[in-house]
Amino acid sequence: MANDRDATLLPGTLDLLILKAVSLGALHGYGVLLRINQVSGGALDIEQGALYPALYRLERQHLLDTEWGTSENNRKAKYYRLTPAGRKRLREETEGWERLVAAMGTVLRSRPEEV
Amino acid sequence: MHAELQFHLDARTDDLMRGGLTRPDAERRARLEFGGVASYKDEIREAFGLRLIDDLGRDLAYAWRSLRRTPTFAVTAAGAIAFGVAVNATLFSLVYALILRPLPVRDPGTIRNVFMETRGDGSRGTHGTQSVVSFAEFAFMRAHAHTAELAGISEAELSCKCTADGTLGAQLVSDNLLPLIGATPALGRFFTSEETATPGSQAVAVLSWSAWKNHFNGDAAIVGRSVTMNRTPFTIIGVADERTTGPLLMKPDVWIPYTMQALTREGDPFIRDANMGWIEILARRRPDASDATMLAELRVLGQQALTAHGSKQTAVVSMAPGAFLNDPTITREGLIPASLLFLAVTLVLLIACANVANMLLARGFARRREIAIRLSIGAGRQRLFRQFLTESALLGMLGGALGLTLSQLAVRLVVASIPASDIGPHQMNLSADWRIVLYTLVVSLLASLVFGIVPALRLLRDDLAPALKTDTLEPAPARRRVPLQSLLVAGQAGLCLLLLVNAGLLLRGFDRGLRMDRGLATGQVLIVSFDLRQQQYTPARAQQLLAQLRERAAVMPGVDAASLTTLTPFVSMSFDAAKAIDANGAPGQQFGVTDEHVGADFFQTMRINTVRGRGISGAELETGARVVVVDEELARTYYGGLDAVGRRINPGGGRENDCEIVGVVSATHPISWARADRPKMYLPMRGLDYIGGHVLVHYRGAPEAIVAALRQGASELDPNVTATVTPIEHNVTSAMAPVRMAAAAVSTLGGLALVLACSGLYGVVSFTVGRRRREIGIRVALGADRARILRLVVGQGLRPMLAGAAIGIVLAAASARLLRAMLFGVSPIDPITFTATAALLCAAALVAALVPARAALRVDPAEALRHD
Repeated sequence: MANDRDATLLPGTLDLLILKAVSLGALHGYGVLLRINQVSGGALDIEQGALYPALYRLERQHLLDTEWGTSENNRKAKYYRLTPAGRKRLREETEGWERLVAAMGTVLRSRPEEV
Repeated sequence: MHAELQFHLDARTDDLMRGGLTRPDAERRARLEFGGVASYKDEIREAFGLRLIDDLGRDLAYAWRSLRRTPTFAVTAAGAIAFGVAVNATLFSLVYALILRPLPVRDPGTIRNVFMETRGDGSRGTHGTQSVVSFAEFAFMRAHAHTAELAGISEAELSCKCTADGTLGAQLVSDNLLPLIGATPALGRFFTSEETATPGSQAVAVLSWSAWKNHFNGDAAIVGRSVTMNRTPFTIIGVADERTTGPLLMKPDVWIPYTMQALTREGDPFIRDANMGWIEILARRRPDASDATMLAELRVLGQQALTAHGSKQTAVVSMAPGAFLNDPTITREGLIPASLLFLAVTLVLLIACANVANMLLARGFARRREIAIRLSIGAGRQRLFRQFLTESALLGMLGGALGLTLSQLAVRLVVASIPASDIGPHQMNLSADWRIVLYTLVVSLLASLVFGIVPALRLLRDDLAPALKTDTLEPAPARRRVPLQSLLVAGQAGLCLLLLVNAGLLLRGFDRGLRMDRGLATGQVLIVSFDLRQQQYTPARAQQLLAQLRERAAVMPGVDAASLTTLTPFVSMSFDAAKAIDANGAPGQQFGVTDEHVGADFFQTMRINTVRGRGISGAELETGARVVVVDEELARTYYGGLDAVGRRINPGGGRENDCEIVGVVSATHPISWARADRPKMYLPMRGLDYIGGHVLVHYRGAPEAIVAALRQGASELDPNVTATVTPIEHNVTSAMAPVRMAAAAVSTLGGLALVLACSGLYGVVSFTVGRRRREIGIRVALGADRARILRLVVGQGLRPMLAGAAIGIVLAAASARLLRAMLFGVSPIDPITFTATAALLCAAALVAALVPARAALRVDPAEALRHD
């Protein structure tokens, strides 16, 4: 499903995406994958194997909480939700990201005369 | 985790199927998309924190393989650790078996030993330990205790014709003691409360299982039979079950009510004296009480019990979880020797650790290449460090396991070496229960940390690049590696010398103690004793028998003098109290004394010097006159000087007991270096209501003829009694047994330390020689004198050892002070001991260094130069 126009994921952003996806509602691992794909309009496609190590890392850092539940098709699945610490981290990272984007934008828009 | 990943795959498969693929295609696609699960598993496991455990497993396997490749190293290192751990574990096992191990009773968790000592004005007698209570006090405390159930116990020996040696070990107990410890009657029943209510009332007895089997042939009809003990017929009312062996260190043959106490001490019963303690208290805490509330209640009750019979003293009540030897006097007196021993075994372990550290340094040096390669292909330093520690831990555990086995053997050897006559049938459990194993484990791990951490750090710090380039064993900068090994050797030498000096001092002290002038005869005296309890002897008749034998002995050829006494020389002591009476006839403060009742010619027989006045005369003994002889300490302290003759003293009881002092003798020093010597008083033996006593005979020349003559004389006086003749040297040796054992223990430790230190030096010197083969070969090829090389190598090896020894001497001088009490007057900085042990260490070190150094002489220069 790779597309030349798909955005490439910068390292370190996976965690932020996961936090955001989960913040919209408790999800199991596969659901996180689907939601990121869906919300980004298909532009962001997470490498499946990298997902679970990231999830476990976030859980060990106490940013995510887990609970076993039943999925839509009546199978047992592990659901992830944000902890208060996770919510805080999401907020901080988002602010940092937006500052980065603004700075990058200023630099990229600069014209030869402005230098 | 597996379930979660499976769910993911299934969900993806479902989606793909909804998109139109067949199931097999969808499954394959889903799996392909996910990628190699195995490769992610590692990352996942790391994220999970399981990495550490995986690494540990891998490290252990690697360490095991590398140890197997170098078996000599493994065996030597593990052996050194084993010795160090073994001495530690042995000491701990002994202490544990005696003082910490729960009693062999039902539910030992709630059992407590209760101790009561007294302080302050007033005299108090104790029989056995010093933390016992009297019959009246026990009855009071038991009746009023709510937080625990109190039971009483005391030990005694009864004479009985039913055994080979004529004695039975007995425990006098309250009615509730046997049920309290969980005993059940295998036959018959135990005591009722009526049977233990009135003193002297009921002669009933319960046999132990082993006594029933061994002395009564397991007679099924034993219940109701009568057995005569101490001349009294006892009815056997029951036999205890096989598992019951009593709550004390010694296993009894029979239990009798404690109200029968008067029977066990003819003429001197304790039971009616409210101020005479003889009962040990064993208590079971009630389920709803805590230790704190129990102790609080017992403290109050103890004091009340004391004041109830008019004593003005203060009760000091203490409590400990049930164990054999946790009496506060023992723990107080034993604390210092035990701590010193623990220190000594720790020193041995440290020396062993230094050995292994040196070995690891040498080994690590040989593995430089391997480590350099591993570092260069990306192993983290932390990772390698962890691996080295794991190797050390494995080595430590192997050594520890071996050490534990060794210690089990050693403990049994130590206990077996104590003569059985001195301790009797004990029930010390020497097996290794989980606490001992845990202790050994902890010690082994700590040791592996100690010996492993420095080589590991050292290895990772150095620049290892040169190691990759060259294949030789030459070090890059030769200087840096040697100092650490030298430091360890020096440390070993210092600790070793410390141990050796202390051992030497103790040995000298012991020797001096044996030969010390104690103020009384330690040899050439025979002690004749009878066991008259079984015969139909009254105290008066017993005194007559002893006096008659004494008269016969006094005129035997080879005999210098003969006398009588109530105490067994060097074994028993009798504590009492007396009051000095001043010139105006007024009695002073009561003070503690030791006393002894003696017969005629006592001071000549025991070679005690008379300083003033005279001994007790025959006439005075006949009439039972009120005279005493005191020792010079009593005279000096309470009568202002040696001239106490003619003054009066009150040895207890009412004023009618006032006595006149007729002589002052030199002070004597019985061998009890923990208890303070009290002033001593000698009273005439005649008129005592006492069935025991000994005849003392001082002789010249060979004793055999006199022993025979004494036995002959005894049987002529009464053919039914057997006389036991003991040479006084035997008692002296027994009394010195604790010091002898301490000296033996420390000597063994010192010897072990010496062996370890020397083998360490040996290892270091042979390592150095091996490393410098090329250099030595070059020197020899260039014409150097081989002897000079030998001196060089040996000198370099010995230098750190000498430096360490010097420091060790200083340490020893400082620490020997602690031993002063056990040295019997040998100076803690005795020059002979110091020089002798230093010389011993240097000589041993010289040998240890010479042997491998001689290998340096045999280096063929041509071969060494070629060796690459």
